[in-house]
Amino acid sequence: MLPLIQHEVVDRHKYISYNELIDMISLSESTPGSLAVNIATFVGYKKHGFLGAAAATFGVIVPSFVIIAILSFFIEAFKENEIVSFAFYGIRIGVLSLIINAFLSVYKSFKKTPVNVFLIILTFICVAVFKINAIIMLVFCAAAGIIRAAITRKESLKQ
Amino acid sequence: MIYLTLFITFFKIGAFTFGGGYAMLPLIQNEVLNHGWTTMEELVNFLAISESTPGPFAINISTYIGMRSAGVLGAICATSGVVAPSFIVILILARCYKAFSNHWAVKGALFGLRPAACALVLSSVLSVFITVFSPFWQESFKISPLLLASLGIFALSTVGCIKKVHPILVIVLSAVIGIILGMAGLITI
Repeated sequence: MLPLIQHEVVDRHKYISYNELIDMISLSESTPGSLAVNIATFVGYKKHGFLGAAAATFGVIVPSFVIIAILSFFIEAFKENEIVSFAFYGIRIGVLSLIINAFLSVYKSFKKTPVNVFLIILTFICVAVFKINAIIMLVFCAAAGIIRAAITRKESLKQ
Repeated sequence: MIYLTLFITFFKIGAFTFGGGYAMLPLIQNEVLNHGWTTMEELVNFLAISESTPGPFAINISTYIGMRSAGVLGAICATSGVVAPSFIVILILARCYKAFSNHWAVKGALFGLRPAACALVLSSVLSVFITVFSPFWQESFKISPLLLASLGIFALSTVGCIKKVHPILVIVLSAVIGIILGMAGLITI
């Protein structure tokens, strides 16, 4: 996805600079939503304010929207089909592997500290075992991170 | 007012999407299954469909659920709901994103959000595992040919994923094995 975005937005149309693109990638990490949508909104806003942002965001959504809207008719139509059910039986097992793989790459993507590992275990137990809403745990962990940052900041300011 | 409910539900999901599609699954389970818009099995099926089509998972799943529960207008409401939070946030931050990204509190929040997202993906692993394998121990646990074959698919696809086989190929191969097992009369639906 990224090479495509860079080609279209930075190299070809020169809507934003390469550095701005890098900034957007890191901003995307700390704001909700997917990278493609975030970049579309940002680029649209830079070029033409609110209307530009709305147009670019609309544009990035339309292809998936149309594809899924059409596909959903087929999904419904073939739901009762035996062969399709067999295929999806196998596919659900394949998806399990894909998610395990996704977990491994997320897990490797950040530095492990005792606090980090504690937050992983705590969130997992709360969500998977005690069925606590994921939103509550996301807010809790973000707050824990901010408090930790505030404490280290205070200590470094004292010195 | 199903349209308003769809918009608000997916607005909530969109506002807390950190760390990609699979981290969203526990959120979607919580919000979407409670409304009875789909079942866990269909949700896992849709993960595979989303993996094989272009576009971010957030957009795909909101369009699909919206479409299923209230047609095209429902899909429009759900999809605009899921996009609205990031749209608003980026509009607000477009002029001051550097100060925002470098702010100590934002960095601190990110320090906590990464492990949280990681744990959410792990809990997706558990719920998909339960969806796939719980039929084997629902009545009484015994080793059946289908269980062995299923573990075989699982081992094969996991090795494939770790060896960086393309996700679509993993999905197609699992589908083919599923069809073969079904034709052999191992799967009862």
